Amino acid sequence: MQVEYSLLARTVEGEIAPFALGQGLGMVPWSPLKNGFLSGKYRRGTQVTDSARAAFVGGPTDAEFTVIDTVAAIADELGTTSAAVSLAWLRARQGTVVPIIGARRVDHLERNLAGLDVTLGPAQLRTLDEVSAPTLNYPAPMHGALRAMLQFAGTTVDGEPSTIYPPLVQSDTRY
Amino acid sequence: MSLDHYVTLGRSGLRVSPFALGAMTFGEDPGGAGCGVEESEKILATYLDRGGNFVDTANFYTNGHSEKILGDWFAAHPGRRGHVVLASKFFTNLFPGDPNGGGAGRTSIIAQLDETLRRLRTDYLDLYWLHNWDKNTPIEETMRALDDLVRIGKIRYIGFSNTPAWVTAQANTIALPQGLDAIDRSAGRILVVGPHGRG
Repeated sequence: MQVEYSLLARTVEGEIAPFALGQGLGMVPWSPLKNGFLSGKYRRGTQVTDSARAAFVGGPTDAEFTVIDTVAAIADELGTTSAAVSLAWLRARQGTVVPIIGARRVDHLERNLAGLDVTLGPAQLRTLDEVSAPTLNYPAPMHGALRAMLQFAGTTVDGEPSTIYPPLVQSDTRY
Repeated sequence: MSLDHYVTLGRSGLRVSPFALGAMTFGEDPGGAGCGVEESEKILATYLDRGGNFVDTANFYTNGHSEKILGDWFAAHPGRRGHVVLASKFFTNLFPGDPNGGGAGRTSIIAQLDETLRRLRTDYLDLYWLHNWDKNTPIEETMRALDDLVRIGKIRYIGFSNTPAWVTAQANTIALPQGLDAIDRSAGRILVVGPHGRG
């Protein structure tokens, strides 16, 4: 399925991404850098001059800059580009995720291809997951930790840990 | 409009009141924010006396007390249970430490239903809801198990709650007779693959 998917566009995770995973369909994200917002050239408080798209799409919002800054910090940590980190995050998603990269110059292409050599660690993935967490429509919010807690009651299943629903601990009476 | 102006629930032969009575607040046990047995029974009796016939609960509401309160009331009022549409739900695991205690696998559905029927003091449910998406279990297994329970008379209708649209659409397709036949054929193929290879 070809869908918009990036650290700045994750609402696909509500229905289509789990559907694709459940049915064994690959996902091919377009705009994996969100119009270049995740390329590394957008910095909070500065005007981007080297962009052909800014004229069409404007600039990032404050909330988007929070994600952009986090990506840039991880890119600095790894000595790579923001584009590479953003694409590596997509490659680390569950199932088959093959982003479509776009370039206006060869150096754009090189900065994107650098993402093939970046492996994000668990802590970096968690940081990126959390800072970019989307607000999903019902019923998606019920399918995360709440589902695991209610179904698995403290056990770990298929690698996923769960907690125990507190009322079950607060009283032993079951009727 | 009053409670005894009934509606047909979807494309089915089941007639229900325009408002269902939710029993999540029956019992003062942890997790329910509910009321005591006496008040619960008054609420139930008032709803039924006004013509209400659709009562909804779940296995884990007030740690099982909700189902028990309903079951005790119907046991104490012979002749009433057969005239209500009694609905409960499965999914939530009441057995910490047991990975099969909840969810929508064959074993766990059967065990959860037995417990629900025991607490409700009845031998069938009118409607049995899947309470959440079990992403670790094939939907074919869930639907086969639920249809088996329909066939042996322990449940009469199947409902889905809080599930994604695509899972629900898949289940609905399976629920057509040809869909269940396809599962049977597929299960038949699996059965002949034993420890000695493909038979």
